[in-house]
Amino acid sequence: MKHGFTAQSLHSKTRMLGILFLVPAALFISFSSLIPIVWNFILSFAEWNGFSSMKMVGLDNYVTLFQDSVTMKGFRYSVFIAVVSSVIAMISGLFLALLVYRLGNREGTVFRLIFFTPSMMPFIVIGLLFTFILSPDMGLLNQFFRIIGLESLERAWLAEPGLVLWTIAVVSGWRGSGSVMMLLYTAIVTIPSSMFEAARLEGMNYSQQIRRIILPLIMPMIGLVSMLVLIGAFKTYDIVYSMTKGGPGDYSKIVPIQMLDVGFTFNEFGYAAAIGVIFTVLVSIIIFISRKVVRGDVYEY
Amino acid sequence: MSIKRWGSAALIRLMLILMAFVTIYPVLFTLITSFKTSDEFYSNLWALPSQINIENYIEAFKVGKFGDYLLNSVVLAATSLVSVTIIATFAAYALARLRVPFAGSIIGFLFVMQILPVESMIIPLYMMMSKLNLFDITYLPIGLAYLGWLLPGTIVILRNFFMSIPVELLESARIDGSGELSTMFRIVFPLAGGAVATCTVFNFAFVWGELMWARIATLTTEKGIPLSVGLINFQGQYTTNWGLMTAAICMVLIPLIVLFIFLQKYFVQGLTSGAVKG
Repeated sequence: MKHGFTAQSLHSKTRMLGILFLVPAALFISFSSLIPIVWNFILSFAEWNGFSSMKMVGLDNYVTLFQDSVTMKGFRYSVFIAVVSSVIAMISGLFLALLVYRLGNREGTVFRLIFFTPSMMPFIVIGLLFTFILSPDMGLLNQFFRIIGLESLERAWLAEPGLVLWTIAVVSGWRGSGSVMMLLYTAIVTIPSSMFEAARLEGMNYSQQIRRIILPLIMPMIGLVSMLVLIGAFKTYDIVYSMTKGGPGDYSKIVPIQMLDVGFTFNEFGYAAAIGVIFTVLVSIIIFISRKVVRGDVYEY
Repeated sequence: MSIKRWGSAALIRLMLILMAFVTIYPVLFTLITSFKTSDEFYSNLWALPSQINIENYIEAFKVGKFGDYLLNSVVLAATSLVSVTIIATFAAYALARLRVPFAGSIIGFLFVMQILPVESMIIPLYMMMSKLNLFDITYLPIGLAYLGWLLPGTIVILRNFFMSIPVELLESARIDGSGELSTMFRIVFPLAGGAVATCTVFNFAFVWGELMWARIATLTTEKGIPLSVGLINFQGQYTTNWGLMTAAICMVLIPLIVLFIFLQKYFVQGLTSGAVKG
């Protein structure tokens, strides 16, 4: 009885300590995430220029949003870049992982290091790097085409309306491929070597091993990684801003750039908040759908 | 048979070398260009510089105020990473081992917080800070936002690590009469070094490159501008001065690459612990 009582008080003391430890984190997260999110939602129903008093206007901002062609195109651009760059990152990352795995651990280390490098570079650095590489006259890519005699392939990569989104998506996918390679490689390594030995005894070559063993077994990891990549792929502000600032014209004006323009250039904070709300809803829906789609079978081994 | 196997391994090696070259060359090219004079650059794009020429770096420091930006970024990274680590460690330990009520729902909430795009919070965050006159204080607006944004992910990862410490270890400490606090400081935290390093390396990469909020938070001031915003301003002024631009890019990139080479292990761990969470 007495023992039970002390254990009880020890538990509640532990619990109090635990709650105490959570307080600072709760305060900071509330201040810079939770309260702003709630506020953003409220603000999206209001008209406010930042100085005068706020006026509630109901759904006006949302009506404006759906009639504003620049904003609507922004949503299309954002989704396009996110989806295309994710697909590129997944395919090239998987390809690299399969190649690197074939080389064995010792030799593969150097390649893993090299292919992972872009993934740890900040978007802004990648963006500026590629404005240099892709610049029309002195850029590496166009110069390269000139040297090998394919002048016809020279482009203003970041200044042609139809091309600019593709360019951004490829660069962003290239950056993502490193993380994908690393994650899928670690998944392949955990497959028991006995399986590969058995396969070799049966005379399977590497491409058969890939199809029959590696791909089915790492499917769950591929699903998980594509989710992570897709979530990351909507964070496009830094790379697009550093490469094109939304140009040429509005041809790469993705949602975040448009939102900040509406807010900080035109002082329509209510409208900007509404853009933020719809963007969040859209990202959540896409992540939710992809989660349903990529859920594959899990093999026990 | 053996010829065929050799053939395919050699082919794979060749493809990998080619792709590694494509991946590395843009960075190398940028590095080489940064050491060239403008004449050298325009006369022959591909040639190596006749001598290592650090004019561009000196000029970037002088006219581009890069020294200031660098200092600001270091201060911002140091303060926000230290605070994130301390606060997140305590919170994560509480959620893992201190019988906090609703720990599961709190973890779920943190996970959602981490996924939600920053776009859903920055407009009101700007207004809150502007109402509180925080933008007059150097570093604080940027650091405060980073702190709040990095905490959820860091807590989730550290909590997973603390869950992996065997309960028996903590129980036996308790039976030996060690108080909750001394168990934490003497037994648990010394074990957490690797997990903390992992999170710190990952968080550093975010803080070092973040542009959107840093740019908004320094719209009205000249003080406390970090490297990312400095680079963008620089680009606006010296669009086609590639020598200067490449030097500026290298100054941001080189510390990161050095760090990466030494702390590779933690980068990869951060990646995988991020992937298995939730």
